[in-house]
Amino acid sequence: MSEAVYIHVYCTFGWILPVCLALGALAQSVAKVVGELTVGALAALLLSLLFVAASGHARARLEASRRQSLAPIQVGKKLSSELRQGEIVMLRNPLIQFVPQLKYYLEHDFILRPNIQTTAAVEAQCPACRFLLMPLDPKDRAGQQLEREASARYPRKMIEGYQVFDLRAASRGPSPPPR
Amino acid sequence: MRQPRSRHFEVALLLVVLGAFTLTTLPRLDEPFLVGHEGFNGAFFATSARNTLRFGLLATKAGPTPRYFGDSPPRAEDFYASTPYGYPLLLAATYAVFGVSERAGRSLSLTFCLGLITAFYLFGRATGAPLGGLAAAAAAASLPIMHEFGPMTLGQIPSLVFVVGLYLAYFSYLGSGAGSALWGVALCLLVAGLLDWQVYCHVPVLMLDFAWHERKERRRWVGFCLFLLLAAALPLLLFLAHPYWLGGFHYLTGKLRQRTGLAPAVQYTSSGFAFVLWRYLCLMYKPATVLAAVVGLVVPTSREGAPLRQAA
Repeated sequence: MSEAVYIHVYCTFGWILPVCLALGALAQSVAKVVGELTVGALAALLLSLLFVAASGHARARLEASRRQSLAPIQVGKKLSSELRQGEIVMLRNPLIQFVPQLKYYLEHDFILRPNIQTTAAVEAQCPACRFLLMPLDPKDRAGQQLEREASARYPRKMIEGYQVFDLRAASRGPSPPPR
Repeated sequence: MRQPRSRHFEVALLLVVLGAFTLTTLPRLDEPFLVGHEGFNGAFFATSARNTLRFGLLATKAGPTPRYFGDSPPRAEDFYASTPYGYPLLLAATYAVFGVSERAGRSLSLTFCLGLITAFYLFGRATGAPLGGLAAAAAAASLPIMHEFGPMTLGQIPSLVFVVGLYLAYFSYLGSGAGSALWGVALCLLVAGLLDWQVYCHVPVLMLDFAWHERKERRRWVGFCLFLLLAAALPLLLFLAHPYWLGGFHYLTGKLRQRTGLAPAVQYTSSGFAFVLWRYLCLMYKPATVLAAVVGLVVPTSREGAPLRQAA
């Protein structure tokens, strides 16, 4: 049986209430025995360490996410200025699973499909779902096969270092290399 | 004789905690909504708030439309009617005042984070345990979950502020028996219920606690329970009325089936759920902190710390 759990890690936010109040009760009780000053100093030391570690970890994750994700969105904004409202774009980039984010920045309807074969299958079932443009990151090694297939079938142009294939054009053999 | 600690000193310590948390959070306010849960929820609710401003409250029926990107007003199937709609409206109001931006959305959450930290201190102070309140506030500001998801645009964080307010009002009622404290209980239940689900978990806790306090006054306990149920029913009914307004009875029952797990997409087991929950707790709260909290729950508590422990 496949096992999945319908809870996100941030759903444990509600636990902050019992955890913090119980810690407060502990501090108040221990202070009765060893004195408020001792408890205050100990709590300040331990919580400072936790604070530094937690904020450092959050900052490191943020830096990692910055490196990972800014370039595709810059392309997204540039694409957004060139697209007509309602055009459907097929994307293949490291952010493929974060659909709402890309939609929020592009403000265009688009559908994500990982390769040309599934694209063709979708289009066969839903002619209205036809993809119009496909931007590809040349540095994305996982997209090289898709790039070869697309190069053989569609014209392309470069937008901010990304190859954007025009899927509206009929397949007419290999396209010239991007300028 | 021991000198009582100055209230100004406590406030100064609280300000240090609030300032430290704000300083570590400020650099993140302008980040695009891109990565992970933080980015997902940011874009998700920001889109809904943007639609509310674009089409107006009436056209969007005050409902969340985080997946809608059309040019015309949304239809019933474009709504996301699975969670309380108070938070997207609050975010839309924030955007109306400060403009649509990542900074405005995260500033709203940061404000409620600071409110939550302050509420812990106020709770301790109001129940005669200012040191415990300060410790709880400092712990809240130090936990990884606060740093990781504190600035995230989500209804859970504002709702928690009102949950702490609910307990404050409840303890005030226990102490004074004043009717005004009961109004505070009802108000906190209403607002917290319109922002997120979690407040409903606290209703039975309050009932049990009141039963313990009023074990010789069964009629008083029954009256209080009825009051709590009625007060909790109001935000719940307001929530249920909304999907009915959007798409009728069939739409409402479909949403209920979805959220109660009667129409699950995948199966899961209780052991799997417990394991994942424990893993999340270790990740976001750290095992030593959880252990200390458990100790705080089981060791004999001083008179001053008792309300903190009761609420926990």
